[in-house]
Amino acid sequence: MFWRGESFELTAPLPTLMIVPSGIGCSIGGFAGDAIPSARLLAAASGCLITHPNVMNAASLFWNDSRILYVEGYALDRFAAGEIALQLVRRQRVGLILDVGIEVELIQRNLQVLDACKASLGVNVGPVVKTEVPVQICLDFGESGVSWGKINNPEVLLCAGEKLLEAGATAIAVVTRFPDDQISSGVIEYRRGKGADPIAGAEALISHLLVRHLGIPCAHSPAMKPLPMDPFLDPRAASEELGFSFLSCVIVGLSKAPNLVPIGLAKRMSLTSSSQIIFPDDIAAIVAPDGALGGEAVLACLERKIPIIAVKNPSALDVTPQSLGLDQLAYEREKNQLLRASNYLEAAGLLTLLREGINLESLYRPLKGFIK
Amino acid sequence: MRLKMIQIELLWPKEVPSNELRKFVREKLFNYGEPLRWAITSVEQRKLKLEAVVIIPED
Repeated sequence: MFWRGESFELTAPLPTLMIVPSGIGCSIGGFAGDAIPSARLLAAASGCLITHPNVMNAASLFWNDSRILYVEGYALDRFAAGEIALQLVRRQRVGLILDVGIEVELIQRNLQVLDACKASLGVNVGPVVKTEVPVQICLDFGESGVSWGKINNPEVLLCAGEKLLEAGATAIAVVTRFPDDQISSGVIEYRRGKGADPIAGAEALISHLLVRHLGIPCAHSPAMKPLPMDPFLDPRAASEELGFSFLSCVIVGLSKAPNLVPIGLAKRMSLTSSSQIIFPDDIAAIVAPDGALGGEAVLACLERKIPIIAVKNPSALDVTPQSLGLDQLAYEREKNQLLRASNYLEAAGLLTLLREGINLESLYRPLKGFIK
Repeated sequence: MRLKMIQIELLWPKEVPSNELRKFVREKLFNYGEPLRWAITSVEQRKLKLEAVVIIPED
């Protein structure tokens, strides 16, 4: 366990996964980093929250908390499935892939973010590699209303990532050009707080692809023309209106993102070094929206008997505990595997309960006695 | 390589419990390519709707 070597405490951190799937229009977390307050709360309750860029990225805004680990969604799925472990690091060297399809001025804006992160935050950044040809992203929605996308030239991304890896980058931020015409239709609704983020699905594909290929932390930031002023902007989308680039939160998130270590190697490392490693067996709970339980991380936790805290957080999906038969599972066989919360405040309470080893039934009345 | 988006329906066999659903779905998705990102988007009367993007290697 990652606190090995430290004095053992009965209320030691409770490594917890927090999932808010990208592009499904969650009421909390479906916009621009608007799940950060919830993540901060869950981090305080658990002492160790492992979550993904969609939760923590707020364009020009970000929040740094040593109890929160920034793990890209594909890696998080692999972690939940028991295939990789997370090695804590003091810093990463964050390289940057720039899509050659981005206009010169937008490229300069993003390079200035890199400069700013180095000059003002002390982040270890660079080098920068441009793709050989434009990546060419197309946006799409599934029948369900979930945003997806298409990458016409995926291999140029992988090639650029390999060059960065060879040049010494240990984490990769990637900025690709998104199509203004496709963005404009869905984005009006999104900026007014309705529907799924039209670009989130394609962003997830880009970072998933890079993480799968390179095995290091990666995250994506879109490049697009500045949007016109909207006086009816939803506050949850407001952080995307503050600057010319969405890159700063990605650089900060990646700057201390844990290394992704294949499970066999991680076990050997834990025997021979003082590395602080979080293993999949350390996961104590997963917190996910109660209508979005059909993703890989949640199903992997179900498989591994890790408690699931299903939080009310409406979205385009309705894959609930009931539709997956989890209510039955929870009450008949695995009583503690499903816990329900009507908001993130309650979820934080449930994490505290798990961390302190308190019996949930003791908190409710009437309380059944043993003598009939 | 190329990426392909697919939307499929699967019957969820009664003999597959919910804690084996991930393996069942992944196995089915591998018929189309290596799953890169996927989700069950609807469950109605043991009929699963899935949306996914899979990786298809170049011939």
